[in-house]
Amino acid sequence: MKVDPNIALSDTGFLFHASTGDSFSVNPTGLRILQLVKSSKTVEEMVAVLAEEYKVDPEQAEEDLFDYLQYLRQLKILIDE
Amino acid sequence: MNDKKAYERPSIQKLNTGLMNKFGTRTEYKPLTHIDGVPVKKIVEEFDSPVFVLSEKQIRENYRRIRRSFTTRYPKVQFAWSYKTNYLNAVCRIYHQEGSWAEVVSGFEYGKALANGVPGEKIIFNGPDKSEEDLRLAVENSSLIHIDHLDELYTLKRLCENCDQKAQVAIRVNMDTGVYPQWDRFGFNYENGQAWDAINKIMASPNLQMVGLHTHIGTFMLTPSAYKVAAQKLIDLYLGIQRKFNHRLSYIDMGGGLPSPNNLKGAYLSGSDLVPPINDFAENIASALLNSEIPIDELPLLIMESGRALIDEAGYLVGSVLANKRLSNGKRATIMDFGVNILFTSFWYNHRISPAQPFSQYSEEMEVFGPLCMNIDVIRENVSLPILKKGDHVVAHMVGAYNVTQWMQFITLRPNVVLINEKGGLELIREKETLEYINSQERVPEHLVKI
Ligand SMILES: Cc1ncc(COP(=O)(O)O)c(C=O)c1O
Repeated sequence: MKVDPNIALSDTGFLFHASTGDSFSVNPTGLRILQLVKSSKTVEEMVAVLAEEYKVDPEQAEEDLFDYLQYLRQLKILIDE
Repeated sequence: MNDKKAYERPSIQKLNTGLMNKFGTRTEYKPLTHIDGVPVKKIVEEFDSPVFVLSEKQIRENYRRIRRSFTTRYPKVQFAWSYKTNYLNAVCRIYHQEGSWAEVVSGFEYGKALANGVPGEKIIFNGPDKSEEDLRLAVENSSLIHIDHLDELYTLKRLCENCDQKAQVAIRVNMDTGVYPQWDRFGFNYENGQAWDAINKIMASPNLQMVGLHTHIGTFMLTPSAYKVAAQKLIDLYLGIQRKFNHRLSYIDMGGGLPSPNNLKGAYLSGSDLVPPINDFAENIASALLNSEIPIDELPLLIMESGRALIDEAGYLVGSVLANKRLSNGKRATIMDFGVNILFTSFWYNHRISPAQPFSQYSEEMEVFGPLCMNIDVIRENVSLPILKKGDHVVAHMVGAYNVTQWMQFITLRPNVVLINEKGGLELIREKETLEYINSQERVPEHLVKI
């Protein structure tokens, strides 16, 4: 799983998909997760990071993470390697 | 540990820059943390979720404002509270305290009005469904019986042959006001002469006392001038009766139908941009009467039976998020603990929904569903709301009209209804239903007792 190389991601959470022309806005948690994907973290590692950095229990973080990653795949922002 | 950041569910939203509507991006969502100064959280803690909340202050203010629209334009105005719009006794009594009569359309509603202490002669009995028993009672109480069809007229005539009292009657008139759809199933038609036919029959009956004329041309009317047309047609009948029978009617009842500023489904504009001011409706009706041939000192009483315009804004439905999911196309779906079973008017309106707690600037396009295991249970097809999580509270706006009467006991039980009184106190005005309450109405036949 990796972020499509055609995607430009700003530090402010603005995301531009160069091959489709679509732009998106992500919230801070969403941005953090994209950065973690870019640094090649596994799902388990990402859950641990979220639970470490945010006031959230790991179960909730994991449920939300799966939902988010799934949707990013559907939007073709994440692609399989 | 304390330096952990506040958590918000991760979210991504496509930016539809090209589709921004010409009114700009409407932020539908401002948090509504308090209703009339009472924290929503406290209401839920005390009365559970979902819960209907009615504001006595807003009911009274709205009533006075709308009444003033008419009384500043016409000298003799009487409002009659349309029971079907919201017949919780506490609500009806607020209107009666404000001076409203009662407008009812069934024996059940008639009984409610009597039990609320409304004198018989201040109850208007409309509708096609009045049993002989209902009619007898209404005659005895000198209530204003608005005859809907000839069968009712004949029944009433027959019943009154043995009464020592005359029935106080009016006819409901339907007509072409230039507005579609024409409500022609109630009452007698103006254009084709049915109305005159009924008037002649009443005037020839010694036991029926014709006291007024009634119409109700539709609901959520957006064309004030239709009321002018309707008033002119009733005035024409009024003057005709005076000419032919030398008989002066005491009132003209223009029914209800005034719109509330709710968001009609399918309308391009939001309710507050779409709906003409109540003053325009009042002006059309009042000017038709004042500019008619009726001498000023003989002007009839103008009765208004407004329902939704009076109460919609004073009602809120507080609910909670049950779950978040995604539809197959990735769209966010939020499931609330209230559905079309209790928020019946979501079939007509895009009810505005506000979160009841503060939130970040991020939002999601979503579809909002109720909890029923039924495909029809959609509260909003498309709405942009902040990122909601399970357990968050939301408030649906303008739900005061037709919900706590048309709600269904379907799949779940009907919730508490709470009134915020003028001092900001919470009063339970209808207790939530229980399994025992529902079962107490049922009977199990002997052969089904053992399973
Ligand atoms: C006879 C009559 N009067 C008054 C009303 C109240 O209507 P609204 O809520 O549109 O004002 C109705 C509603 O259908 C009605 O049938």
